[in-house]
Amino acid sequence: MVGGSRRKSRRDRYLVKITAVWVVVLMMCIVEIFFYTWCSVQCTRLRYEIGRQEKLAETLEAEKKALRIEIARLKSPARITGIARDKLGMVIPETDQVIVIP
Amino acid sequence: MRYSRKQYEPGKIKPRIFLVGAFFSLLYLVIAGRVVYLQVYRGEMLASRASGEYRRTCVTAGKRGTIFDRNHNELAVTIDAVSVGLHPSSIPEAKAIIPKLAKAAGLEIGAVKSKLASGRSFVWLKRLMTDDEVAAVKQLNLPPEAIEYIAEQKRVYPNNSLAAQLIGFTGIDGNGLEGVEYAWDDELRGKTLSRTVLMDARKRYLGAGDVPIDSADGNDVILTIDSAIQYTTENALEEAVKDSQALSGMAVVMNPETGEILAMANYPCFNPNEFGSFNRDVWRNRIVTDAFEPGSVMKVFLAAGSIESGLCTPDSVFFCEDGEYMIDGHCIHDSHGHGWLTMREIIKISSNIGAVKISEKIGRKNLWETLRRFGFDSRPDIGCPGGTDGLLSFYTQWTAVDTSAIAFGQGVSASAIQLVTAVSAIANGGLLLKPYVVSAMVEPDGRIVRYRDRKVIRRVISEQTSAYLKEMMAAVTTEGGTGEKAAIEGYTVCGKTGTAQKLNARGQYTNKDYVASFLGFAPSDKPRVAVLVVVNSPKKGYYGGVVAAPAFRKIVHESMNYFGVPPEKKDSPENLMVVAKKGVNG
Repeated sequence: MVGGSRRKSRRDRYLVKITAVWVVVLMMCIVEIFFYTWCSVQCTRLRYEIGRQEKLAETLEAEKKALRIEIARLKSPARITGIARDKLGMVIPETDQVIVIP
Repeated sequence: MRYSRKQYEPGKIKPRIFLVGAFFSLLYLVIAGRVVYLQVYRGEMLASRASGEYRRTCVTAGKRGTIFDRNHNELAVTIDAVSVGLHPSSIPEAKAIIPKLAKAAGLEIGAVKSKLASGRSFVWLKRLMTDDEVAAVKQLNLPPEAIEYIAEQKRVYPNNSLAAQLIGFTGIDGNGLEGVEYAWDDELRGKTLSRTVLMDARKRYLGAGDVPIDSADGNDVILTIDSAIQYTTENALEEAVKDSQALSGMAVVMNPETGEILAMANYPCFNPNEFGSFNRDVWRNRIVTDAFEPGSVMKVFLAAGSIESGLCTPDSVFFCEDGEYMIDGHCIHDSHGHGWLTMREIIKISSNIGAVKISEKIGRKNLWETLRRFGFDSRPDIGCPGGTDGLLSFYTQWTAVDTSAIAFGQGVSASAIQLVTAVSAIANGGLLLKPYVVSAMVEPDGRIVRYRDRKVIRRVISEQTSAYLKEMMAAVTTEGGTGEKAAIEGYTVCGKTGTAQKLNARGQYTNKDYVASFLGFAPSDKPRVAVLVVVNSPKKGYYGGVVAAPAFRKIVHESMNYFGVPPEKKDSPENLMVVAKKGVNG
């Protein structure tokens, strides 16, 4: 009888051990699944974000281009000469109006 | 009531466990088999089908490169634009929508109507629309199957007509059609790249699936043109053409030390942003494409040949027949009769008979060789399309009359670029340089892929001859010379006037139609600019010294101010700073 009870107790401990190992393995799998899902969601979210940022960069690039054209228009000799001559009353100096400073 | 536990019967439970185990094992085997089948045999096909759901191949057209002037001011840039296309069969209540579409797109109602009634499955409503137009069309809320918004690129010329003939323009599909846009199309044009992009089930953009190694954008082109000098030149030319009520005009400014073209102006001009609304005759850069009889400006090259040959000196004396000289039954005239003149005086007052006498002394072969050396029979490849060789026939074909006419610039034709290149050789001490308008080609990442610099073709005259010629040409702009109106106080201006008769419809020279020109450079000792002004068919005055010289003066004067070149005269030491008097713009 004593021998049978010891065997049973050993078997119970073994079962608990096995169960614990399986529970740990199962938990790891579940955690891994959650982690994978989280990574996947993060990846998708980042892709959306990258897509948005790329679109934004394109928009800003187009805006920059438009501003550069505006600058080019504002810097055009025709406009500057017009302002200098008509608004500020400037003229190209004749040679005798130029003083040379040593 | 008591429940009795069913007795544990090891003999019966084991087969059950085995059966259940076997059943599940079989199921797992089936699943495993299916997995192996799907992964090994169908894996590739299924993977490509899956990726096809979220991967799209997107064809990207790179932007056309920018054209800059020498100071990196944008002359031609590319911007994004939207073209709108329609599927007429998918438009509900088309009749009602036509006026709204026409208004939104800025088109005539009839035009939109005919597009929709064309019977085609796809028509362009309008290409390269403005942002406002696109927004107005979007507000009409046409169904997605009826309308397409297609991203395209639009070429914009921020300075409008500035250097229009030189820069040229592109067509609606972005191909260069004229000018630098055409000549350098391969460099400027963006590449077409295929990219994989990721999309979700709702076709939302999820970023690029791959990163292109090279940029698709075209190379930038940097010109030698200076916008400020270009503007001055165009203004001076326009003024000259309008004042003389001429048909057209052209002016070119070159750096005689390097061969760089600083300005190229044609009048009438056009706006490349709307080139279609101008006559196509004004599109071409006549400075490069058109040859004309230059008239008396050729006398300086005759003088160069005569001095270089050693047969004449600036002080050699010729009898000018008191204004009339017969050659083979043809009478050569001077505008005023002269007796004995030195070569200096012949150039100063531009005596045709004097030039004929010089040509007789040096001979036709010598004259032909001189003109060839100055590049009058070869097409200068400056980086613009459609150049001309000019016309200089072989000297054995010249009759005595031909030789005489060629001596004063008739019976020979040259382009404006050939003339200014030739005079630059006199200005720089005798070296014929290769003229050019494109100085560098820059990749989108800023790397310079091509760079063009000063290139000497050959020495055409000695430095001594160059010095003699400068002296003679400087006399032209002094009192009593034909180019007095080109003189600028404080600077020694070298130049030569030209007044060439034009041929009429019957091929005869007429006394009613002329080409007036002025060719020169300044300052004499260290020339900064060589300039040619040509006025075609002036009605009010026709002498080069009257019609073209004032424009030359204006261009040179403003260029000297722009470059900060101090006046030569008086006691001005070297390396001085130039400032303006109070109240005057420097």
